Amino acid sequence: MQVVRILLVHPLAVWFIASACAASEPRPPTAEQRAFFESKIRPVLVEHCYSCHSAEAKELKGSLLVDHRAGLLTGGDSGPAVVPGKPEESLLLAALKYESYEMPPDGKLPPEVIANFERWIAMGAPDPRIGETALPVQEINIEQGRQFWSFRPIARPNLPQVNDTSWSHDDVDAFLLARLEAQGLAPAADTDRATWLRRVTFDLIGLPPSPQEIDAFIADESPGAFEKVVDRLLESPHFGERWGRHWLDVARFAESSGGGRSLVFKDAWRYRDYVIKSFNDDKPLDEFIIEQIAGDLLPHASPQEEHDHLVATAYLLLGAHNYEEQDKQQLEMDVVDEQLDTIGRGLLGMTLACARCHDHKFDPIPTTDYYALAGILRSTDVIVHENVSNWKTRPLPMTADEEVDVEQHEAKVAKMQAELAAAKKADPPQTPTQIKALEKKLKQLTSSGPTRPETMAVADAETIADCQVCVRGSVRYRGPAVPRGMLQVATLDEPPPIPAEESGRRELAHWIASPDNPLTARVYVNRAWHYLFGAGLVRTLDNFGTTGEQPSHPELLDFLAGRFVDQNWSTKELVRALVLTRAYRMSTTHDARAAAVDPENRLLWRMNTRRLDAESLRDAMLVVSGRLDLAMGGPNILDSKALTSAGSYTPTEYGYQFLDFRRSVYTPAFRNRVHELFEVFDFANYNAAVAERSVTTVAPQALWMLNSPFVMDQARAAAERALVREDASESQRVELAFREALGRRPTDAEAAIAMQSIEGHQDRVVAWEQLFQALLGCLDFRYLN
Amino acid sequence: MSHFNPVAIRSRRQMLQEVACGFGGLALASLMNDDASGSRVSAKLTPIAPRAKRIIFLFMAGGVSQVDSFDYKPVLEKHDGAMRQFRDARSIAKTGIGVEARVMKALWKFRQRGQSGKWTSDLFPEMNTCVDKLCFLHGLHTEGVAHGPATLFLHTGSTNLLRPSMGAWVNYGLGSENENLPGFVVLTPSLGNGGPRNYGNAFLPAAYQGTTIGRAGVPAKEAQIRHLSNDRRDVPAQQAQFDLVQALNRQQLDRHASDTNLEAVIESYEMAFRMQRHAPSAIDLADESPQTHTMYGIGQKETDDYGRQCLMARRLAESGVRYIQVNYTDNSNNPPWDQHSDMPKHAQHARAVDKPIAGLLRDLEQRGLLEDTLVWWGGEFGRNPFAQNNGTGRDHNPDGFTIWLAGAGVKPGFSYGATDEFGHIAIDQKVHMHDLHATILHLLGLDHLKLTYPYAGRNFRLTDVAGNVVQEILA
Repeated sequence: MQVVRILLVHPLAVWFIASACAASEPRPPTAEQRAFFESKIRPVLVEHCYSCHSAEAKELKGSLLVDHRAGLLTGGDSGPAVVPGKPEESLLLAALKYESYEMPPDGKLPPEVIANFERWIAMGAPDPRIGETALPVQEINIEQGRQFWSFRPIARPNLPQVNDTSWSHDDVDAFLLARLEAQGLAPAADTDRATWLRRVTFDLIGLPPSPQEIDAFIADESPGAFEKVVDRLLESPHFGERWGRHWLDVARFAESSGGGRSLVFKDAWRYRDYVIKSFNDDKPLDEFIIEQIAGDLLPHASPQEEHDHLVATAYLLLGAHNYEEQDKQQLEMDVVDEQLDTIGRGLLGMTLACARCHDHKFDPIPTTDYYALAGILRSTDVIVHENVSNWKTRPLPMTADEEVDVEQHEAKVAKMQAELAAAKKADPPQTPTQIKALEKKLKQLTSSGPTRPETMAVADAETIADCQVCVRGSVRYRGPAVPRGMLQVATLDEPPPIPAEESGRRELAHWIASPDNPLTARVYVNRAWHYLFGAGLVRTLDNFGTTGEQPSHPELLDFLAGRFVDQNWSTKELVRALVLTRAYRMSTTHDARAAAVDPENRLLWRMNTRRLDAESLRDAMLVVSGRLDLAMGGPNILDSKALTSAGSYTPTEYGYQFLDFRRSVYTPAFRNRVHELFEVFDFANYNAAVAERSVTTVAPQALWMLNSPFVMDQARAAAERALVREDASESQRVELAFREALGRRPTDAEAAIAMQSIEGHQDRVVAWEQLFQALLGCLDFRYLN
Repeated sequence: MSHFNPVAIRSRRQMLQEVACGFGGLALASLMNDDASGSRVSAKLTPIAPRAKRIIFLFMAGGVSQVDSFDYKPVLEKHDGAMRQFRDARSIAKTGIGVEARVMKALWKFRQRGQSGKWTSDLFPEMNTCVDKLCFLHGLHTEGVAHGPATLFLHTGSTNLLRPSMGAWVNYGLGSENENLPGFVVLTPSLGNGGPRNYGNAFLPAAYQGTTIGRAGVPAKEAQIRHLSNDRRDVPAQQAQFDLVQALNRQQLDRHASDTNLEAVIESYEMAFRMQRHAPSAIDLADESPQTHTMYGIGQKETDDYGRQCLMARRLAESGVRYIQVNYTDNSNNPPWDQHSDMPKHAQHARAVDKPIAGLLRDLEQRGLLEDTLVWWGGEFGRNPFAQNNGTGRDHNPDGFTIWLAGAGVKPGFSYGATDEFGHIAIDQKVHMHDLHATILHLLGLDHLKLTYPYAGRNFRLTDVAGNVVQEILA
């Protein structure tokens, strides 16, 4: 791609030009003034400034031009450089004095030169260099930007014609087949039933199918056998765990703040459980998004709904922040930036954060759009400031019974506190032992009873205000305030009006989750496609801008997005349709001819081989070892000792031991202490919204498979389980081991390798442990075919 | 589109080169996208001739007081105890205005040392004997007043946003020289103040993250690469396990011909098994002579731990690791070099690191390694020349502090930059942390402007939009 170098002068600069020009019509300088300028000012500008601040500059710095009058008056990113008649307000002078910027950077100019500039500005900065800038000034053209594919309204494409009319199961297939046929390619044959079942079971619930489920499916010759499986999996509570985890990646869910001094969040598990439940309930995605951005502002039909609405807004608070940042203005803008990055890449496929310091270099997003959105988030309470600041929490509604319990408990505590106080003042005084005993009792009581539940949640701020632009991203240089609003290029209708006394989060939420938003539905269905087929139709899942990839099948993407919205934003309907396509049923068989035409399988002539992700890998190992604990929901930070750390403000994750055997979605998500398996197998980075995890193959993974106590323990447990079945022969056991681990019978060669390995050992448990460990580490365990 | 296509096809060869520990230096390939030949000769990456092949970073977590160690300010003695107005960074960040505080003189006496006649204090007696090898930068300044932000800034060039660590960038740019060892190794890192982010890959491929050996709070004696050894099985059993899984893998690969991802897994096992055999010796200190142990202070209570790390660093450097970080740290929120209320305690930390560091410098020199190894000593910031809360400690100072470099490519026995007369704020020949990063990359033969990676719609680099190479200190 050719990068066209255009000078994008800040839209604010245009604003400044307008105001500056209105304020002072340039008067031609007198002869005396001209002489002063030509002898004292121009030569200095030419010698020391033009190399970076003129039309001839190789690279213009700070968008500031000093080679003509308007350039100085307009200024660059930091505002006007010269305010005629007011040396003390002129940035240029401050920079020369090394009081703000330090210009020129290679050394301060002599005091007499600086004094000349001061004089010159005081006399009104007479400058004969009147004329237009030599450089093209170009504003981002929003209307033109809307021509880009991802900002166009979602189209309703017609179904394409295909030659092979028997292949398709769903309209989706027709779109794929038409493209394959156009290239003279044919789709791969259907895969065998066992492979399909393993594929769909991992994809929908993140667990392997049991040998019984495999047998039942292979034996089911009824016409609806595939649908039956899919419906069973969609109804499973584990569906929410699997698809909820996908969402948690994008929501950069974690249970500690990371950043510098990592603090353990307040009951972050509540948000995790809300997400899982939402997917199990098939909550429409639009509703789901609205709750997370503005749940606190919605009407609540019941205490349960109020509970969910508040918990949902933790979405805005879960970022990795340096709460100990001492410059609290900086911290607040960093939090906003993180929120915009998460919303932008996660929900809209837009790299909004690029527009924090300047207009987006590639996408039609002016920096004013960034601050229009920032104003909404700045008008929201998210932080409680202290030396080390904290996130906002809010009380959760309780049922009447809970309320009674808590009140009774609080009364008990109050009574005992009074007793203790009385005892301390008693005459004759009580003994220290008696006092200590009372104190101990009180402590026991306070730590045991029911407490008022709280959640991380936001509220509209007391002060609602538009946000001033931070020039070049700096909180120290503030430009004009930008009215709160939405991303213009993705607003195809009238922008929603924002009430003056509200943050605008409600409007933002509805704007994102609107059928008219060209991005949201496209981004979401594309991500679902990625999760099921191994690569998105747009492979840059979180970048639908001009530096992202174009869709491989634009009509299909729009078809899916349109149908998704029509089906009430239902994730389950979307997933159901995709896994019942003929395409999803294809095998992963290689085809040399197709590979030559389409080496990256963009046209989907076969199914992609996919690696099990970290959590499926761990869960599947625990299934094979028989140790998986399927308990759902609730807190899962077990080691209370890890929660106390001398000298810190709150609990810390340091020293945490991951010992539970619950599903990986419940594994404590500490930012500074990541489960080793997750670290090694490319789990989503907890620190930022992750749409696509990286998939790397590195030696530490193999070391982990060969030597980690976790794998060896699971292999040992699986071996002990296998050997309990005394009626089975060794070869029957081998077969069962393969079926449990790989969802299929061993080939003859594999069976021979396994038998040979077992016979080579004296100790049967060790023999079986080694076989199971090899099964847990082999290709067909680690990859989905 | 090559510049902006993050999902460009990778060749099988590239993929296999990523396997293992990230040897191979993928950046070479990506930086030479314009070069159709795909040649991977590093000289073509950049016209900069590398002066250093590798770097050892001696991280002094917290802030060593510059005015008590290497930045001699006689005026402090004269004004000791006087109240003065200072532009204290913490107070500026919080309130926008400075504070009145009590000037506190250096607690250790300054004298001239070496041929260069460098004024240094008695705090680091062993390092003082090496001053003629050192290149001091007295005008450092950085961002972040608190440990978390400043530590992340030092390591990643950002106080808050998710960015790859410097070691990951170097690993990405250059790769490892040894196919059995990772290119970026971190000894005994802390979990605090950013923890893994300080050696993380962020959005670079995971292969470039730091490989940790040990962790803070566990004696360096026990430090190991994780899962490199197997205590539960003897060597023949390990071999049998490896053979078994590979036998199954080869069977399964045959059924899915032409899948480079699967081939890479098989390759990763081969690599792991080679590492298992060769890597432990890189950090095994048993075959070092007793004299060497003594030189590093190993076996002496106070210096044993850091001494072992420094000696491991030398062995890793010899083995071809590019970026070796030796941490003097712990897991608390207030790292060791952090005497807010008790400046004399600096002495205890100085004793722990002084001899090991001097030993390392001498050892590198006598083996000829100092010629192509760069050593960087420093913390995330310095300390104030005035007492904190008028007590007996000093608060953080990101506005002016001292670090030193030694070895490949830098002027020995040289000092550059200055703080004001009180040793507080860098005023002359200032070097921002971004500049230091740019300079170190330059010494390694990497142009900080060109070492970029596409993420979230644009190209990122370690130095963001800043950074100037400090030419004046280059030898």
